[in-house]
Amino acid sequence: MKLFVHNFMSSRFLKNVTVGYPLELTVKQFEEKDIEFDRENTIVMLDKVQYEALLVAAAAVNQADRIPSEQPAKYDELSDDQLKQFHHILMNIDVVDGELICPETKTVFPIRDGIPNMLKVDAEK
Amino acid sequence: MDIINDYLQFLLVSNSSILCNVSLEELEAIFLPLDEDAEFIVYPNKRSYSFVQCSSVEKAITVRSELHGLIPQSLKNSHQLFIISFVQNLPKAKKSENFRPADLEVVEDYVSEQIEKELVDLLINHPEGKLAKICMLSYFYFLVQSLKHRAVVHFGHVFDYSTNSASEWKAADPIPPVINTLIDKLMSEKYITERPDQITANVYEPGHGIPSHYDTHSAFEDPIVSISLLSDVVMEFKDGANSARIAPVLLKSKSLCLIKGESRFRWKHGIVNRKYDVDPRTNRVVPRKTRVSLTLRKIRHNPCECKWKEFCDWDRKGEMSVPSSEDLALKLENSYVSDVYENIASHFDETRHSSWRAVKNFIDEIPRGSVMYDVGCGNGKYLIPKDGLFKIGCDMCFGLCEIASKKNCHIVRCDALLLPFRDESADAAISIAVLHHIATFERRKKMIEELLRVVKPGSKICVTVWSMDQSKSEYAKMRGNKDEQLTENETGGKSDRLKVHDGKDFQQQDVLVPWTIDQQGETYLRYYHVFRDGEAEHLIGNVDDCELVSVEKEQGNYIIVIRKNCFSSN
Repeated sequence: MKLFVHNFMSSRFLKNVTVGYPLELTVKQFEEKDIEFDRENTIVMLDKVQYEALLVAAAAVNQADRIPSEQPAKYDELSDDQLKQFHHILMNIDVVDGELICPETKTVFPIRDGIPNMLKVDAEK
Repeated sequence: MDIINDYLQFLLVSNSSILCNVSLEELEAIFLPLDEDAEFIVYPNKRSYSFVQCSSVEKAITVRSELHGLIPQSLKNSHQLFIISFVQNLPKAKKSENFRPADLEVVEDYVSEQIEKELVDLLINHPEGKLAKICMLSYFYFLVQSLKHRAVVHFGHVFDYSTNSASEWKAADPIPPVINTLIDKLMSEKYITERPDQITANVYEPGHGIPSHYDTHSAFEDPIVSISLLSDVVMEFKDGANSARIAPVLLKSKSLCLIKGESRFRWKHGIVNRKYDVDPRTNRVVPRKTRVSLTLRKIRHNPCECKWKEFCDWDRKGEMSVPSSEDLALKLENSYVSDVYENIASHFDETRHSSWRAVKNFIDEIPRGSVMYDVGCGNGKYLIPKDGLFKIGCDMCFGLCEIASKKNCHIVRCDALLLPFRDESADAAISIAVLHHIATFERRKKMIEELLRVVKPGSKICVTVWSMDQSKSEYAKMRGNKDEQLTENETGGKSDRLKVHDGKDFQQQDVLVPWTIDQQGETYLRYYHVFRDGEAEHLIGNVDDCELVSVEKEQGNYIIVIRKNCFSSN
């Protein structure tokens, strides 16, 4: 699971959960791949993500220091080097083994072989 | 098959099969004088051609120049020219045409000539006039009186054809000693464990048969015992989950046939109306003579509990009903959707690559840089293309998630009715061939609402489902030759009972559709609710905060596009 995907996920589908976002993330194992950087693409993607969740994801792999703790005002004014740090967090890091946890109910959803299992019935077993 | 211009030793001979009134014996009489080592591949049904493998290229050229474009004089009943072409290869031997349904047992020479004679004598002397005039002619018996379609005599109990069920039994003549002796033998040899109490003797004249049918599950215990007398016959077994799987089985005179287990409960059996058979093992023509069959059955007094419940004659305590509640719907979806996809995932991946035109158009119109969810993404075929979109797919099937994930798609495993995405987080969504696996109206409505929740106001969603009308689909073309005549008790339209889909047109909306992995018969049944005309409009009309943009029909599918309202009505 790319950290980009984490940014869109929520446990809002669970009963009595009002926001369910961002999901807490614990990472037991991850891989770093070299996905081709594209400046325009990265800017468009950053416009889609929620910064708060991005910080949660970066911290989960101990790489929060790659990106600013405050959301930059304008992404298209960032240098290539700065954008590459964002690209690295969002696209290069692949969580192989870990857990996603609902911030409200603390329901645990496992990530195995890079695939998060968000089935409620499995989580409730 | 490649027809080529080069000279080779393999010949395709059109208009040379049983279908064209040409038997293997006749082919041999025509070809062997020209090439004494020629070998033949012939087909007992459905094909109008045969293959001839000549012993050398030279022989093949000679054979072709002698016979191409002619009707050989020795053929009395064929009126079509032999068209002979050279082909690259011979087809692999069609082993599948020589298989038998599971659990079927045939024992040749089970009945001695003496018993055969006694049984036939019994029928000759039976007061039922229909069977009266059988006389002995040389070795075999022949009917001299023209009999109606099938002449029938019952012992023990009379089966009431008007109900096809066990409830209407009348006492018939007592079972005669010769048949009781036969039953004793069957019991002592452990072929059966319970004494049959319903015996039916049928007389078939050459040319007469019996339509493909199941012996009603709840009417009789397992097995059905069938004994053939006086003539060989080929009985055709058809897989209830795929009527293209036909297993012809030669029942020789004096043989015992035990139709039990899968062959009884899942397969239909019947005898084609014709005067000859083709031995499935040798492809030789076997002429029919007058045949007497003795069917021995034990009447069942409780509803059937077989494990082939999808083919059973009752709803199995609601398990085979169209679900009426959320709980029953979930149970059905688990057994006949989720579990099935886990089993067929890799085969599904091998067969799912082409995109629907209307779906592709929908995706092409989404602005670059948008976020799109693919709910029920299967093997990821819409996630793979690099089209400038940020795409996240999800599927309930772990096997398909793994497959799509290995193709570097972004994948989450989840339930389509419980999407793990934040509200209003995507610019578009697609859900291809998923909604028809959801078993109640309420749940289908919930799935649409869940899709709407995760997209931004004003976003469009494309949903496709199977249509009840498959008349123009590839699927229908593929299954075209598998179409079967409807039997009397199959009526169209609404039904409370799930039914295994067979043939081309859907007979009802809630069906179990077979997925066949190979001809060896690994078959899985998937639940579908196929949509009627106007049903998409009705469903979307019942969902708040969205409008229907379009409903298109493409190859037996409805392509439904909806838009989330810009301002919530709440």
